[in-house]
Amino acid sequence: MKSFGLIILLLMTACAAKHELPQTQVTNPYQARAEGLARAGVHALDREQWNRAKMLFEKSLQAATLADDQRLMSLAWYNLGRAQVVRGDAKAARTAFQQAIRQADAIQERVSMKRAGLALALLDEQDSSQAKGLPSADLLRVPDAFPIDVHLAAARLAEIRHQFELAQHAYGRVLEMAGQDRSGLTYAARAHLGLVGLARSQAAPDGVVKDSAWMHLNQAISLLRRAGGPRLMLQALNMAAEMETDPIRRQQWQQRAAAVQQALQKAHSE
Amino acid sequence: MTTENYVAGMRRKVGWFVMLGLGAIVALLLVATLRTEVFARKFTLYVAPPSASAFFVGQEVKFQGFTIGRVDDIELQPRGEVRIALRLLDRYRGMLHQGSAVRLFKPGLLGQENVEVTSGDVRAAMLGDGALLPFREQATLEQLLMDMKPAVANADTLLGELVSVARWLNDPQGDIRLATANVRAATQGVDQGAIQQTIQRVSDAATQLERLSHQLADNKAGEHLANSLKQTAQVLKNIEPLTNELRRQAPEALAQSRALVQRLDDLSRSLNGIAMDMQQLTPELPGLAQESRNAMLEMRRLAGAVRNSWLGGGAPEPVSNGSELVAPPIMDTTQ
Repeated sequence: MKSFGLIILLLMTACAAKHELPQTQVTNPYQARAEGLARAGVHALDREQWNRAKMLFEKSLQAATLADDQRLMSLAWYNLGRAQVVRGDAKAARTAFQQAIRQADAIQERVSMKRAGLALALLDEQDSSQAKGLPSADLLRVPDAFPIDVHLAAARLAEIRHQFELAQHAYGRVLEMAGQDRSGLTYAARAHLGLVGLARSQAAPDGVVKDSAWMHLNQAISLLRRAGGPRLMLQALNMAAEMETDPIRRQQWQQRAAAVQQALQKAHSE
Repeated sequence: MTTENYVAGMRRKVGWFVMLGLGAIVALLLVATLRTEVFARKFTLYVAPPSASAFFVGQEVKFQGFTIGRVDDIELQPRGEVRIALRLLDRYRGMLHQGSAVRLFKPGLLGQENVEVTSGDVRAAMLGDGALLPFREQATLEQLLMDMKPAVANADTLLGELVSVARWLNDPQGDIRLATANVRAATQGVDQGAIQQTIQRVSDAATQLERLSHQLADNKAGEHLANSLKQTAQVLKNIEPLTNELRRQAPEALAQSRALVQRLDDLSRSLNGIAMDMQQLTPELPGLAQESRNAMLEMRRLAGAVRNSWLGGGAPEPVSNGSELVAPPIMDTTQ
């Protein structure tokens, strides 16, 4: 009886030894911090707090470096570049985007490489002192699975470079991907505004704006009313004022745009 | 002779005494001056902040937590610009490079602010004497409080909405109660026991929701509320016979709950920002930041539970496109 008990005990011990301990979920606090700071920086950028956004992205980069996470480092460099663009420091923005590309290249992270590459090309397009890059089909072609912001950037670049078919396709992809949350609605509004630009650039020779341009513009304004985005709203109202042929209605659009602009300036000075 | 020897001895002793005293004073002075760096070589840097209100002459200037100098002079330039001279120890000059900046930081929640110099780009050249450094503004506690105001107002509104939804759910003359009564009448004899039981569970959950929503302001109420709402959501999701009928009869419920979910999302975003701000600004209050973050996580879970429930229309949680971590692309220079 004693030996039987001993055998049972041995078997139980063996079973217990074979049983693997459950994997404990560990979160790297530096990664979490880098992501949290990036999120807060994007939020600050949305609220047009440029300096604050820059500070948060710098700290995000620091945390990503401490986590030794190259994907997050690349993302942080891109975000930092984006904050530098709105602060008007094109040189620093260019350096940050180049750093983002280098970092993404090191780990073959295609999404980050494409994102930073497009941002750099867009920056070059805006900066008249920089030599314009040759239209690169590779840069403008974005796999469908890539995130929505990459498609939007590609659409904008294709529009600037007069590659209208590619731009149309990319804006369409943005509209397909845009969710129903605030960020999704804002992306959809940006895509509609881009499509307005496309429709206008392909307008009839007599200068009459296509109906589709007005349709996209109205959709953009409606989305922006839901999601909120005064800077984009200002852009939409200015577009409407430019497109309107009736002088009274044009004046109304201009007045609305001026009111939004004044309110924005006042909000910034406070 | 003896007297002369005595006097000479006394003189010698007094002489030694005076010399030792003077030596001690000189040694003390030497130690004091060495410790206070009075005679150490120094160099000057300038900074031009928008306001001098947080600066004063003699204020410590820190680098990596070490005192490396003091504010030497504050003056108002003829064009109304503030110019502050920082007198720093020369031996630290090798650590300060081009790209350095000056900022103010508060070591604690209370007390005066310190001036801090950052090292700059270590690959760049050292700073020269008389260099003008940029002043880097940091988000202040006041700004944080300003940021918190709308979130607190949001939380108040949210609490009010939760209570009103709960009251509406619990109203004997409300749509849900009437709808359940209608269904009960329509399905008499089908499975009365199960329906009665289900209605009772809905009623219990709604009562629990109302009770717990009053405790939202309490620290641990969020978790309880989330659990309660999850239970409610689960109960409501499982009421298959009631779902279509209620969906038809209670469009207001859908509208209210969707608006609620939207507000929860907004609130969770602003709480996220606040939690990050708090961690940045008040490192001595990690508990507070943690609490905000926990509140945010609970709110997110809550939003997810409601959204997935029948109340939210049964739609699955939208897949995140990761855009919350990425700044939107440049459309023009004003964005």
